[in-house]
Amino acid sequence: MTGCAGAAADDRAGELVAVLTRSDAVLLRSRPTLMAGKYAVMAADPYSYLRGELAVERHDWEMGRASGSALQASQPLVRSVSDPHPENFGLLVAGDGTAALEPNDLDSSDRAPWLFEVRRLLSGLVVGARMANGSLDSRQVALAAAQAYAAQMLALAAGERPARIVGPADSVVLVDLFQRSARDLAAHSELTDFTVVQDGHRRFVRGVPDSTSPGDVVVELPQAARDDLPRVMARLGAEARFAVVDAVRIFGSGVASFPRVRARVLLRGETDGPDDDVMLEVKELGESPLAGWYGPALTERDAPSRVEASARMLWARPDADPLFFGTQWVGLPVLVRSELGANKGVKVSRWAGARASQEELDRLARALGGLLARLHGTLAPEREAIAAQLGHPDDFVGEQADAAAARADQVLADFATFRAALAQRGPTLGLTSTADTRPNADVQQLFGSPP
Amino acid sequence: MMQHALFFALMVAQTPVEGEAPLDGGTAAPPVASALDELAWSPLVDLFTEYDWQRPAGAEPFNAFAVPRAHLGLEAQWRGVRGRVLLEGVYSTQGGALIGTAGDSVVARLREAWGGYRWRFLEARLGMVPTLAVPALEGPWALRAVAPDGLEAQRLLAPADLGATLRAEAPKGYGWLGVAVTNGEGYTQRELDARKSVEVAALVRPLPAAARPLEVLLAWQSGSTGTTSQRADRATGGVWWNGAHFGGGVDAGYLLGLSDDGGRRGLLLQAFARAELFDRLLLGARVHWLDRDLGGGSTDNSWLDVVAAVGARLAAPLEVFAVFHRALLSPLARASLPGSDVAEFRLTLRLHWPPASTLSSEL
Repeated sequence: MTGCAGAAADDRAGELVAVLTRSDAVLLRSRPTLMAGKYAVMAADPYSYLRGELAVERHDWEMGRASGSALQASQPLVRSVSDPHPENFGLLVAGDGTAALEPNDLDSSDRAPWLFEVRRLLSGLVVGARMANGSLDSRQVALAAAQAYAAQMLALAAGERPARIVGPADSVVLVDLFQRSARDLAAHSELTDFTVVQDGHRRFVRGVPDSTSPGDVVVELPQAARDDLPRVMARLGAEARFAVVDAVRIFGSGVASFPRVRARVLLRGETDGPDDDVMLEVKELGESPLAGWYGPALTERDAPSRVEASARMLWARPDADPLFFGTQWVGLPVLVRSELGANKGVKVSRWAGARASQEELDRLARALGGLLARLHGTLAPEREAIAAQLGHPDDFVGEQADAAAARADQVLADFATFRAALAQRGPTLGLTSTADTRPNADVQQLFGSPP
Repeated sequence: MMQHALFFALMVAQTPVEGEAPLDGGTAAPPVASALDELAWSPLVDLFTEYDWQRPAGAEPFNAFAVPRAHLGLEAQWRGVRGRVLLEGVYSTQGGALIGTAGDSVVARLREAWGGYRWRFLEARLGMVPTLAVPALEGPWALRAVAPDGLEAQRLLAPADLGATLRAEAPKGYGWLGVAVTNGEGYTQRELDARKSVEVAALVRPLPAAARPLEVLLAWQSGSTGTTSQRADRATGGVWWNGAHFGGGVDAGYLLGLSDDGGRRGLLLQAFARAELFDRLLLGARVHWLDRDLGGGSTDNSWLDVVAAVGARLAAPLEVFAVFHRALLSPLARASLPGSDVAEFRLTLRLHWPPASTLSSEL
């Protein structure tokens, strides 16, 4: 038995590494140092691993391991987040200054099977709940989310208007989120945390702005990249208030997007003074790991269009982030978005103390499950097709909770396998660049590497 | 070097062959022995263009004009030396990706690029070479414009790869025996692991003396894929009638390792029939059934693919087809592979050169 179990573990390890490296092959060959950073972050804890393993989840779905259902799991395909794990939701401050809970990371957004998305959210909740509180019933958290999803979808199909979530309701986790957002909005915390004023002008702090996050490093942008920013920002309008004041390259953010090029940009605000300057993030986009899961027609013509169209369609109001758009920057597909301290994301690391009780995580799960149903129900044909399959909500709820628990078991096992593979095969899982796959010097300078 | 050789070949082709009478009836030049007389070359063209209408299950219908194949190449032979360069047009994105070259242009890439040498009954090739089993299976089907072989369509075996082949022709047309050593990732991907794939195949024609086009194929690939050398072994066997006007047969592939899962077992069964009537009318049908998980117990994870076509040969190198295609998946496979359960109708045009050639059967 031990031999069989060992062989099975070896098979899974080989499969896991093959899938990850095939999915990441281009990045591993062109920016191996940054990919080593991504894999190191994934190896930190099970939830970080989950954030970086969407390609494995897709693979397991396609192999039939994660897609079994009494329902039609892949019909309809919905235009949605594509990776709706809990940390891809958070508060966004809209054009009128009000904050609402929305999907806040649409990099992977594309068409996906509706049940794939439901299970991705639920399994993320289960993994997070197990990390936060080992004594609670994590399956119950998935049940709560599935119940809320079904109830919201049926209500929307019955004609209820979709609601923008502008308050925490009864969730202490969301209370914490809204309170910290309001505090940071008033304090312009993004300016105080990342910038200094010198000679009446604001500029970014270089180096390590936050000593508690030594991995977050800020360096100069290559001049060509900086010179292209005014053209990019012209999309916001020709007013002087959007003139570029300062810009830096940042390293250390995200998990799946860790190796992507990111910049912070400081724009002039309404006045010449430094106190109303506006901060943005410019972030390189790649292909969605779910690319190709649509019919013969492509969803959009390019990655920036894909992400921007998803945001406009899914958010409760199109200006949920009033400075959000997709474009090209020095030849890279990128999205531009507000970099506000008030745009707080859901963080598993804050599920602690009173916020990690069964009751509170169930409440958070209900909020996120209902929100995902709102996203899936944006278009009437998809809303009706899903609602038609929820004739027996209890069957749906039980099946999804079981699937989420099983998936969480797999993620936790894969996390251990992944760490062992990293130790055995090296920081880039054995695939790295060669002389003919390395980009030229200019591109390497743009990609950069953490100092 | 290959480019120089092909350029030279073109120059030779534009020169009247010495010793032949000029077309204007003038005096023929005296015969001069030349090594270049033995240079033979041929352009290779295989073009599929189509109008495609399809309806994936649960989705809106979609229709588009497409060029699923655009092959252009050149093959040259001088004494025992052979070489071929074959380009194909392909969208610069694949698998639904959105980031390509100049938007999503159709770009040219290499499909084959090899040099080789033929000595008596042996031929060796090195470079980007056609593999053994897939071309052998698609040859008797002869209607590649209608549908690829199931092993190729399901990406279970590649039709070409980087590597080397050695093939021995049996005497009196009894068939051939070949061995190929290749990267194993196919011609569309860079190699990911140090282990190479080895393919051994034998095609037997048991009745050559009676001019009976009965053929039997046996092939084995010891393969690997991915950075961790995941198992991708394939055992293939088939028997068919490969007549000029009628053809038909069955074949099967046993799959050890599927989609980066070296432990997964699968089975592909195929059958085809084709006919050419009145020198113009072309009929064809093929079906393949793929079990994606033989170890799945009672869970059915399978794919049934049916294609039927009627066509006409308008001229030797020009054919048109009306094609109906239906992919039917088990509930688990349908859930796992969004968009694969599809009904499709195509109008396809095929233009190829040479009109009939052993070369073109390998394209």
